[in-house]
Order: sequence, then C-alpha cells, then structure tokens
Amino acid sequence: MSSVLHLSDIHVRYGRTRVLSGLELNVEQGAVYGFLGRNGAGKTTTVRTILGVQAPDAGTVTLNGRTVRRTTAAMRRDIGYVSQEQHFFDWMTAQHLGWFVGAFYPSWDAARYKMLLERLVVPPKRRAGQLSGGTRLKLAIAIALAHRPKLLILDEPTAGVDPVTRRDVLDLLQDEARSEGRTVLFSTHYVAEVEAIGTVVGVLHEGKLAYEGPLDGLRDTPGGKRTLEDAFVAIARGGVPA
Amino acid sequence: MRGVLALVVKELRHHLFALLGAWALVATGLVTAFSMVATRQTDSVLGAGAMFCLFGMPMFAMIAVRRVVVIERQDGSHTFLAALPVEPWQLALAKWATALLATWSTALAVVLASALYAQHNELAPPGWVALVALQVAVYLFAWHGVSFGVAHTGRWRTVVWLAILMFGAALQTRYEAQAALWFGVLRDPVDQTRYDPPFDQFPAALAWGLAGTAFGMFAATWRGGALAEAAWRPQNARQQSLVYGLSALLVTVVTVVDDAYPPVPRYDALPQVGPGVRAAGSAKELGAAISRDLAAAAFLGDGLPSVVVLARHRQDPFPLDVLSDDGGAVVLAVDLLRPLPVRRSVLDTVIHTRAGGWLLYEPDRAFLTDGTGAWIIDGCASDLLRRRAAYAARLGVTAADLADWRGLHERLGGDVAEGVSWAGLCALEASVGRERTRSFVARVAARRSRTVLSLVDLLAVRWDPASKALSEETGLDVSAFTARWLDALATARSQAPEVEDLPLLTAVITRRDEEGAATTLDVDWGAAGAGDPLPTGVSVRWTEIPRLRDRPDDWPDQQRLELTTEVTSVPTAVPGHHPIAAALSRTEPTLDGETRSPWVAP
Repeated sequence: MSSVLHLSDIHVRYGRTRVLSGLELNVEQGAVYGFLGRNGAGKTTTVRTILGVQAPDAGTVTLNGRTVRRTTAAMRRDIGYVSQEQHFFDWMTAQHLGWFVGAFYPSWDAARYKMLLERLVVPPKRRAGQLSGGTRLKLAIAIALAHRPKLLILDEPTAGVDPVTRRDVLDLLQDEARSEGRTVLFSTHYVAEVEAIGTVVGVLHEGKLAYEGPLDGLRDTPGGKRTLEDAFVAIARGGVPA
Repeated sequence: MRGVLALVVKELRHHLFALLGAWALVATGLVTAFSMVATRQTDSVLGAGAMFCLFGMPMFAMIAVRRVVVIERQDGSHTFLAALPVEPWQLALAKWATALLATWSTALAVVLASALYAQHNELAPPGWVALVALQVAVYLFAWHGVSFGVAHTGRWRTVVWLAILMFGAALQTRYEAQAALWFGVLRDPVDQTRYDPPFDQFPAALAWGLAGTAFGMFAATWRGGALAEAAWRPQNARQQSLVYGLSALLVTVVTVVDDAYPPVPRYDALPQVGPGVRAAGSAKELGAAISRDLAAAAFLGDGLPSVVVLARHRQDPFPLDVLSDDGGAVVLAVDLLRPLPVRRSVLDTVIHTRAGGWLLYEPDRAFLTDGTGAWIIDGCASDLLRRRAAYAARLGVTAADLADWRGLHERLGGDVAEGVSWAGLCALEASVGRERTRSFVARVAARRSRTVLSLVDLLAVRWDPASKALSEETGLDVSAFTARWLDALATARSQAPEVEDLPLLTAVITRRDEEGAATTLDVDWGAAGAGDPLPTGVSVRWTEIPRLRDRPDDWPDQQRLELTTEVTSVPTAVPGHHPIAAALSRTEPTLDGETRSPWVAP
C-alpha cells in the first residue's frame, strides 16, 4: 500500500516548551489511523502541522507523494478536517456553510453534501449557533467529506458528545473507510474508539511516537495479551510499548 | 478567485447588521454636522461633511478593522478559516479589502451627500468636491492601514496604539513635523486648504497606510501567521503587567517630553512659509506687487506676518478672504480681478494681524488701517481716494466726527472712510513730510502691535495715546492736525467736483411688527442729487442692536435685502421685538465702493 501521509522528523516548540521532537508518522492508503495520546501530548499540534496551520521548526510533511516543509493551501484541498471544537460562523446555516466552504474546493459535491446532511440528520436551514454540540460535529463531518478528500483528519471528534452521536460518527467513519476506501486519521484519548474502528494505531508520548503499527502489536507482550488500554497506560506512564 | 470572493461576501454578510447600525450612526452624525451649519457654528455644508470624516470616520475605520480581524480571533472562528484551502494572504487581503471598502464607501457617501446639500447654499464645484473626496480617501486609507497593522499585534495593540499616536503627536508638536503622522491631509475647516491642497502631506499619509498594511499582511502570513498567532496568545500575568507598565511609561515619557519642550507656535492649516510673500499659480503677479507693498510698509517695524496669496474663484463684495491668520502668517484668498483693492486690503490685514485683532476697537485706528494701506501704496496721488474724501466732505464731517472714528467709519462705510483716513495722512505728510508721518504711524503701530491685551498693555497704550505720539513725532497737537485734516477734506471736495452729482441716499424706514417672527420694514427712500430715474442697486442693510450683555461675537451679521423702486416693503425675520438699525446701501461706480444713507432705528 502507498503512503498518503508521512511526517518526517517534525519538531515544534512553543517558546521554551518542546511539543514535538522528531516525530515520525506514516499513514497508509485506506488505513483508519487511531492517533492516541494523553491530554497535552501534542496531538492537536500534530494535526495543525499536517494541515499547515502550524509551521514546524524542523522536519517535512509528505502528503500524497509531495514533500514540503509546510502544507500548502492547494495540498489542503485533499484533506477533510474536523476540529475538536466547531467554530462556525453562528449566523450561517448548513446551506450557507456548504456554499461558502464549497467555494474553496474544486471537487465539492453539493449533492453528496446534501445526502450527508440528511444521513446525519442535520437541519439544513437552521443557524449553526442554534445547533447542539453533537449536531455541529455532524455538520463538520459532512463538510469534511463533501469534497471527497483523500485524507480525513479528525481531532478528538467525539470529545464531549453523547454516546448515540459518538456511535453515529464512528459508524460513518467506518463506512467511509470500507465503502469509499477513505484514509482516516483520528486523534483521541478514548482507547475504545481506536479499538472499534482503527486498523492502525500510533501512540504519541513525549513528542514522538512511542508505537506505530497494528493494534495487535500493541496488545501483544512476551507474557501474553493485554488490553489496548493497559498498553496505552503503560506507554503514557513511561513504560515501553512492548 | 472564487474563494476570495466568497470570503468578501462572507465578511459583508457577517458584519451586515453592524454595518447597518454604523450607517445609522453615521447618518445621525451627519445630520448633527449639518445642523451645525443651520445654527451657524460652521459656515460650509461640505466643510461640515469633511469635518465629520475628519473626526467621525476614523472611528468607523478602526471599528471596521476590529470587526474583521479582532472578533474572529476572539471567538475562535479564525481556526475554521485557517483549515480551509486558502492561503493566509488571501484571508488577510479579503479582510483588508472588505474593511477598506466599507470605510471608503461610507465616507464617499458622506462627502457626496454633503456636496449635494451644499449645492443650494455654497459654491462647491465638482473639482473641489473631488479634491475633498481625495483628501478624505487618503486620510482614511492611513487610518485603515494603521488599524489593520495594529490589529495584528494582538493583545499588545493598546500599547502599540499608544506608542504610535502619543509619540507621533509629540514629534509633530515638538518638531512641527506635520508628516510625523497622517493627519495633515485633512483639516478642519477644510476650507483652509481649498486653494492650497495639502498634497505635500499625501506621501506621509500614504506611507502610514501602506506601512500599516504591510505589517498586517506580514504578521498574518509569515510562517502561516505565526507572528499574529503569538501576539494573540493569552498573556500571563507577567506579560499583562508589561502591557500596563509600558502604557504608563509611554504616557509619562511623552508628558515629560512635551513639558520639557514647549511647542513652537502652531501654524494651523498653513503651509510652511518663510519671510515675505508666497503666491501660487495665477496669483504670482499680484503676489509680487504685494511683496513690494510689504517692503514699503517695513517702516512699521518687525513682526509683520508672512503672507501666502492664493487665487479666489468665488464672487464676493470683499476683495479677499483671510483663510488663516494664526501663528505669524496669513493665508489670503484674493480676487485677482481687483488687484488694487486687494493690495490695500492685504496691508490692512497684515497690520490687523500684527495687532491681534484688537485694532478694531482702538480709537486711533484711522492712522493704522483704513487709509494707511492706500497711503503706503498710492502716496497722495490717488484720484479715487480723493473722490472718496470729497464725497465724505459733501456728506459732512466735523472735528467731533474725526474724534469718534468708529462712529464715523460706521456712518460712511469702509470705502468712503478709507478716503477720509487717507486724506488725514496726506494732510500730515503735507505738513511735516513723509518721514515724520511714517515715524508717527510706526510709533502708533508699535503700541498697538499686541496679541494679548493685558492690563499692563492697556495702561501702556493709555499712557502713550496717539495724541502724544502725534505731538512728539510731528510737533503738531491734535487740534492743529484736525484742522488740517478738515482742510484736506474740503480741498479734496473742491478738486473733485464730479462727486457733487452723486446721489445721496435718504431713507425713512418704519417697522411694522407682525405676529410671529416676521417683521416688515416699510422703506420710503430717495436719492438727493440724483436724476430721474432713481439709481439702481440699492439695498437695505439692517442689524439687530445687541443688548449690552451680549458679546460682540454674538452679534448677528448685518443683513442685506435688495430693494427696488417698485418694492419698498421688506419682509425680514427680525426675532420678536428686538431693536434693529437699518440703512440704505449702494455701490457707487464713481467711488468704486459703497455709499450709505444715515443709519436709522425704525
């Protein structure tokens, strides 16, 4: 399988705080990549670096075979992105948002957007400011998928949403991966989500990946199998992955 | 391109209600500015519109930038935009353009509305309206650009604003550096730059606007906006203390600097001028003549102001307008078609300016203004002034009248009084010679050249009255001089027999009080010595007689109402039952000036 995304030796620091230090990350075509890490581990900084919102102090980003120091706006057309918090313009309805965001994507599919809104039960004519947190998340996912991105990135998408919405979102992601062959990278600190839909897992610890590979590789230890959560906790507490 | 267009539409729609609210405020402000014209706080409608742009629109520009840049940072919606496939410079450009579009279009609407309204009240040709619009556009471009740059300094913007405005203002005051900031392109009143557009201020304003824009674009785009991002990062307690500390330090430093270096006198709205005369364009020839006149008036001593002469294209009974006389220089807009009256008026004006305006109330002003300019320019060989003196003699001038110069001046009108004053100076010259006459005038001028009339000044003036100066400089006492003056008037009358045929206006004016504010003046008038038909061009002048406690500034202007032989009832708008004085007035071609009937109090 070919690589859709590769981060090479990424370093990012905020003032004196080193956030990412030599991060190497690889996402293969069609993978559902669960990006695990504790709060403050640098998951959001990694996502921002992939998007090009954050310029790395060092390192390169390779997206769809193109290697750059920083992701360009043109490269972002191949990415669908769902942020941790949805900062829409409150006066915009889902329809307005479709018109506005669609202007930036040549591959925007208005019919698909409408279908996604219907599937996720997002009212198209209600203002974003009047939507619940869960519905705003669904709206963000519809926007992220409407232009058929090669890579879908979600930054802790299910934080703070109810179980039903969480299930809807995870089901949708799984469908996208299976039926459309969509490559998905989602960051989270909920291990269960990774277990539910992930095919690959990466664990971020102290600015670099402590583990990257199949889920079973993390579970397996010389002494036998352990749960994914136990493995994650062991890494987060400074233990070795395997 | 479609993305940038979507961004602009988004910005406009995003801030639509704020924009509508701002427009409502602008409309209210504009109506208030126009009402200042109605209440005579300012004279020009277009000037009022420009004044609104000067003081009100910078706030609009700052708020517009704040809304498109700052609010998205504060509510976090910039993160939504940042993740879209759009370059940071496109985002910044869309915001910059949207705010500028809103500011410029609103200001243009203000200027156009003012210009349309002004068409019925004042001379506001398209060329001047375009010039005002250009000044407003450049001025607001600077405000917009600087606001845009400062907005990208994030939570440090208060300090940055303080630094720019306070240090800029201090530099401007301390070094008279108009270009230190961008305020020179538009002034209040805008009339002051009507004939001398401040094009030299444009580069500074444009530079400020471009510099602010460039910094804003740099901060928004460098490493994807890392600089702006850092500036917007929440401040810790130490950084907040630094902001407050820097602000306090700035205020303190600027205050100390200002106190240590008192500002040089301000030349409000004046171009920088050196000694002598500056004249622009078609006024150059007249400017050269005025320069010679001023050289001839040098005996009046130091302190004559520099003069800037500009062409005036507006018709007006007065030969010149004083655009500014502040700070040791006068800017004059003159009627190029009437060079001689202009030259005499210029000398009067500079003498008045040197005396700080107090000369109007001095009893001995006859020796300094009125005829002094004519005497310096024409000597004693002017036929026109001789005719004016002769006309005054025909009306009747006594020694008591000469002692009450202000009363005589009001009775005769400025033009004829000029002839009387000129005759007096010529009588003195004939008696004691030109040099001694000049010495006398110079001494009176030195005594009256005060910008502040303190009690000490007042006592000094009283201890050295004109009579004392006359005696010491010429050897004549007042009674002897008055006798020669009256003789000179009589001689002038004998040398100018043509004035005997000029009509002498007479009037019986009665007042018919009516209900409400309107009053009708019934005029029964004639012209002694005139043939048939009666002379044309007669008008009634009337003025409200002020109550004693009114300050002179509160006196209403004299009103002119045209009168024809067919119309002798003049409806006026005299408020209530206030007393008024009225007189007939007519421009007499033989005298090239105004003649008056005696004032009556109907």
